[in-house]
Amino acid sequence: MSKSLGFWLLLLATIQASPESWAGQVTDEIGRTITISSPLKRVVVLTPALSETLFALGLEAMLVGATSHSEYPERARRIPRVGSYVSPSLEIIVSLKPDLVIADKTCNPPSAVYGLEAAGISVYVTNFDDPQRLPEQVLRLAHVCGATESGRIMAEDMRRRFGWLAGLVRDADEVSTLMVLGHAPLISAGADTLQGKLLNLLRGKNIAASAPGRWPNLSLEFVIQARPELVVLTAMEINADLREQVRFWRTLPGLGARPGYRVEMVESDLINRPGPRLIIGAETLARVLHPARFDLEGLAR
Amino acid sequence: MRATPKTLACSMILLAVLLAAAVLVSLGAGTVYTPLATVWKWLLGEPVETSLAVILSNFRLPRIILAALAGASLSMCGTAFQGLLRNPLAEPFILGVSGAAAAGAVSCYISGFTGPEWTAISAFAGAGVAILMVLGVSRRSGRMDTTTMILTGVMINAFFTAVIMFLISVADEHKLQAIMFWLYGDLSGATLKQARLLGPVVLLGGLMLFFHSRKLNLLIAGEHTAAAAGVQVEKTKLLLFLLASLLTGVTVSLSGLIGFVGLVVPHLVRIAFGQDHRLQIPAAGLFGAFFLLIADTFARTIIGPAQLPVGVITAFLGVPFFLGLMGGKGSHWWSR
Repeated sequence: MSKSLGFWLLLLATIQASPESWAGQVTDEIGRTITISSPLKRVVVLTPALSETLFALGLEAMLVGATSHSEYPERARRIPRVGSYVSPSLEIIVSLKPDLVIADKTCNPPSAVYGLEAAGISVYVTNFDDPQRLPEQVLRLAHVCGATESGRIMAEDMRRRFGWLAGLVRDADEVSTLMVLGHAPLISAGADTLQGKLLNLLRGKNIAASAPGRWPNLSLEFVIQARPELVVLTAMEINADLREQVRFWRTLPGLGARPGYRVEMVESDLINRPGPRLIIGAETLARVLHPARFDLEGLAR
Repeated sequence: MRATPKTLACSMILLAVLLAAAVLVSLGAGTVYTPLATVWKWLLGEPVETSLAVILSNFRLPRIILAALAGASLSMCGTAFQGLLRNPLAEPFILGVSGAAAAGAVSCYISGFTGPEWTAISAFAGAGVAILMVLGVSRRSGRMDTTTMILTGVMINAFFTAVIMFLISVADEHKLQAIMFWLYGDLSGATLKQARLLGPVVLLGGLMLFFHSRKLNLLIAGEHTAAAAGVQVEKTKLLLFLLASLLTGVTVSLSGLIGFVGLVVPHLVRIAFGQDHRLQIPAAGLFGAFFLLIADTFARTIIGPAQLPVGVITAFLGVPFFLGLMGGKGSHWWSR
């Protein structure tokens, strides 16, 4: 599965990006109308996922600025940094003289968007918080950047694979799941988040869905009472001792001894970055949620 | 130093030049290198590189104006509180007035009134409540001894911090970032609109304080002395407390909790210009503007491209200063 992704990533990366020339007004994903001057030559992206997306669309030549942790693919490390996605430096962004800045509603502070807008810079805001809507949004973004064709290929591939995954797990039993994004304090993903929606799509029953807030801070008491069958660790903390965390969750009194209880790890960047690799994260998560489905699938082949 | 028109004019010119120099240096400082010559050209209206002009006019200038206004406001408040409570350690942040203003702003913001005018009014109300608490405790003697004052401040702060933490716990995710802003004094979101709101308040409030500075001088000598000299003690005190809480409230609603400016600046001003409030109030305004501007310039450059909340810098400076005053003679200046 990930082979086909690798294939088109490679294909797109080798195609010399030749953005189509067009100009005019577009509406971004939060309903703002912006004017795009075209062809785009200088673009700054404000999240690592957007950087990955532009790379996958074969548009790396126009990337002149990215936020910290934009480290995939390896070449992304060479793009000048403009601060973190939580507090990008507007001064640096303006000094890079971008034709377009791409921001994301969930990740970036509104003040950055409006500050840049007031400085006369076009800012296209995506809203990458739903795996099922990701393909269409990627397609629109690709169109804005003048790469409609590669956008179509990428969106089509994502759609096909999300569809395949959803079909595979459609009649599977729901697996009661705790998604751990932060270990101490224990932070999980609410229903209205990328991770929550992904879990829902793949027939995982998110125990944090009933907790208040988008990123609920759960008590262990709540977790033990909710009795998840599966704990997925995708710790975003830097330098987190994952082995220690796995041990903690495997031996947690009240949960650890229950039959069928599992603790699994999924690479954080695959699940937490709404970009071209999210589908790999979805596949990994589906495999972790419903391993039996994948065994049968393997046998059937 | 005696406050004659001549000394007043000379010191104001001196401080204004100092402030102007700080503005110039601060315009040149930032993550993007900007030579002072370019800043000068831009100030004179000559054409400079477009992106630099945008950086200067959109990001640096509004922030500089807001920092200067907030510094002036907090310093004049500190001077007024110190005079009114006859305690040199009084300051909006230490007294809990700033914390109460922040709680007011946050509760207003959470209720859906997110405009700066609304949060400013609500912060003023919060500051007013805290002032009433301070007055209630200090009522008996008129002046406030250091222990009582600090304990009152700690309690008021504890209460309003709890209010803010409660509001944070029930706030939805989207508003959280905006709320955190009030907890650390942070000027990174400064806009000219905010400056236009704070500017007239600081100017008018400062002028009012200045016109009452002679009465403040008399009040420090003792309330009986002041009454004997024809000051309507209660009325004047109430007016000045209201003014100070208005200034604190509006400032906190726009800049968050910036502590200790109102402590450090009046002290330095007193050392340089003496005890006369007719000099102290305007000097605290100008020097406070200078002080917070420099602190904020450090805050936005010292760990560039990331930024520190300016409250961190003022606390680093202010806490040792406060402890030094507590341990030394400073806190007994007005004891009899």
